[in-house]
Amino acid sequence: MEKRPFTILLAEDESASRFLYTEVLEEAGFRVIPVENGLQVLGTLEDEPVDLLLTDIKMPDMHAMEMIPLVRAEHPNLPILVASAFKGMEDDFALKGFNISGFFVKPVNMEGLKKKIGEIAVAFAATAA
Amino acid sequence: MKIDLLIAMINTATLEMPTAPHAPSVPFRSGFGGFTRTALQLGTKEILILFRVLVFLVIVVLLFFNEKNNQAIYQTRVEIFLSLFTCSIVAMFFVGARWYENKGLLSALFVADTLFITAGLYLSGIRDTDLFLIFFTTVFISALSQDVKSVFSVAIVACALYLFLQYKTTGEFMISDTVSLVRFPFLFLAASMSGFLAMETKKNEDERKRLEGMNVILAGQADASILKMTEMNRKLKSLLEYHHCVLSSIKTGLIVVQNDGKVRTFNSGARQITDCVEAEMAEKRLEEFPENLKPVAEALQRTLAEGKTYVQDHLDLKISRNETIPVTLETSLLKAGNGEVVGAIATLKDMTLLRQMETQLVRSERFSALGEMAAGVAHEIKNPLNAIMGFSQRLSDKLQEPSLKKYAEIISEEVRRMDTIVNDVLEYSRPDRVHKTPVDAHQVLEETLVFLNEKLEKGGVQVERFYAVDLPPVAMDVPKVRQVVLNLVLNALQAMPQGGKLTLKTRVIEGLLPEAAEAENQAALYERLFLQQKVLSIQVGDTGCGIPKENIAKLFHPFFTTKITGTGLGLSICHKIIHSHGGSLDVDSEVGKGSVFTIHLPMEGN
Repeated sequence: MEKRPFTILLAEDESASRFLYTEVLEEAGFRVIPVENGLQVLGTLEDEPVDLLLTDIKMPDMHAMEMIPLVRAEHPNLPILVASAFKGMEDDFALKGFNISGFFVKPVNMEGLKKKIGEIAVAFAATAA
Repeated sequence: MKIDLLIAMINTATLEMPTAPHAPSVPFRSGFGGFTRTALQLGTKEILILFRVLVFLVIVVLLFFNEKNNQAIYQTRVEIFLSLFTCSIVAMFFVGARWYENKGLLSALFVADTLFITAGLYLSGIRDTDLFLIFFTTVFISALSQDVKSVFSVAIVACALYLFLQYKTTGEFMISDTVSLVRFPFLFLAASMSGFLAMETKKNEDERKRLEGMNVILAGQADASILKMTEMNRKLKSLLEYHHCVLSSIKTGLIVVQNDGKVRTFNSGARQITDCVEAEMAEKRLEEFPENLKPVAEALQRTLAEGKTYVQDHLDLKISRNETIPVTLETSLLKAGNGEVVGAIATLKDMTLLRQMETQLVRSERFSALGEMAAGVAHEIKNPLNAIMGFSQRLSDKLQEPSLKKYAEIISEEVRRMDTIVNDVLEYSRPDRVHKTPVDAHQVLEETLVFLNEKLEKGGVQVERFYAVDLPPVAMDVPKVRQVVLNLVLNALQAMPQGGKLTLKTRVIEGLLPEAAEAENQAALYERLFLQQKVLSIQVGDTGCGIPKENIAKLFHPFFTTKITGTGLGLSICHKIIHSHGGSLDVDSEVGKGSVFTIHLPMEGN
């Protein structure tokens, strides 16, 4: 059985940012599934195995605050990273008990993001093995 | 006028009533001159009974111890007579006292007595002796009725009976007898005299009764009047005191002038606002008002002349050479109870506090509206920045050509600068989230200074500390307050490019009187002082260039800056942080001398 690459579901409504994340993360060796909104996130999670969710907060159809509980209902242990323009939002996510793995403030430091995802991937591989 | 009358009445009453009005009444005299009924506690009834008993005794003596007595002949009649007489006396005991006030009954009784005496004399056989005199007693006694008519009727009956006795004894009417001739006029003389005396007595008595009644009424009235007057006096005094207290306690300045333009009232509120002394203003005419009070004098003059109320909402009253305070001036006519105009009133309200609060309110409102907008804009900018930043970094990573690589790096650098500005805007517009923990405020100040030590030394700035002793822990969001202090110290540093003195001062303000609070920032402390809370004041002062007056009002406005590189958000963020702590941030500055920024933080739990 061929080893499945670490798969990242990327939710970002801004096409430029979506393109940026995809380029950077694919270059780092991850598989990226880019989507534009919350509904697509939920749909993709049903159809495909995903190892990490990287999401924006404000999306046209759904706020991350609404979306994450829906994701958690089906995938309680899925690592989730949040990227937002608002600095103070991480407190909100922490208070809500969403079990967020990381919070990035835009403009996102790509090196930092790659490093964080790398850590999660290593941990994931260790668990799988 | 009423009071004068009252005093006259009281004086009269007091003069006419040397004795206490409630003491036993003046001796009450009966029909007998000099006979004091009250002294013996005897009524008409008792006197009459006593009299009859005496008469009875006299007759008994006459009947049984007289040598001329012819007992054998009249034995039975004497017994019947004495029985009847005794019965009548006993009967008198049972007749109610009020019947003895009836004149008809009294007259009948006197006539009956005369008859009894006559009968007694007749039965005793002594008819022409001096015992005739006993008739006089009946005449005198009849004067008890206090009526001339009954006295005279008794006298006539007595005369008739005497004549009858004489006739019975001698068989003839001895009118020609000298003794009888003398006796009759004497009897009538006695009758008229006693009658006259009785009438006089009655008259006196009536008059006395009338006076006594009047005295009682007057005494009652006088008592009531004195009580009323004392009460009125007391009320008047307390009312005057009350008015005085009201006038001197209200903060509103009150100036009252009469129709002739002379100052009648100038309360302490007016003194505090205008800085003019009450004593100097008393009796002063409108034309003589000091220069700074001219607008007040003019308004009063206009109100007096036109009878209209004037309100000047935004009047700047000069209180010293280069200081004015905002006041609201209102003038109106002063009218007496009957509607007659007696002068004009001017009220002066110190609006300093209100204006400050208004300014703060406007500032807060403007801030929150702007904040919301800024947050929206900043968010929209952040997304494109994210992409630009990411791609410029990728470009600089991938490009080999040094010049092109440099362009990409410049883009990254500029994007970073833009990000800083946007972050400031976001920081400012972020919902207030303060996580307070009780800490040593001095430690927070010192930690911040450590961070700046190098800059302070390099800039030639000396630090002076005036810290409060035994300062208890104060609840604050440490990183945020540190950010504020850092900002203020950095500003101070920038204000002193040639070096200078940085002053850090802390103190606890507690239970200030309003007067003392005026020296502090009233608007900021107003609410806290009302709640009697303790407030920590942290002052950051510099000896720098100072802030021009026109800039002070704009100082906390977002995006206001005089620096080339500033975003103009630093102080507005500081203001917001302190505000979210429930405190206030204020500035006092003089161009060329320096500025003092004061942070007021409520000390919770106190």
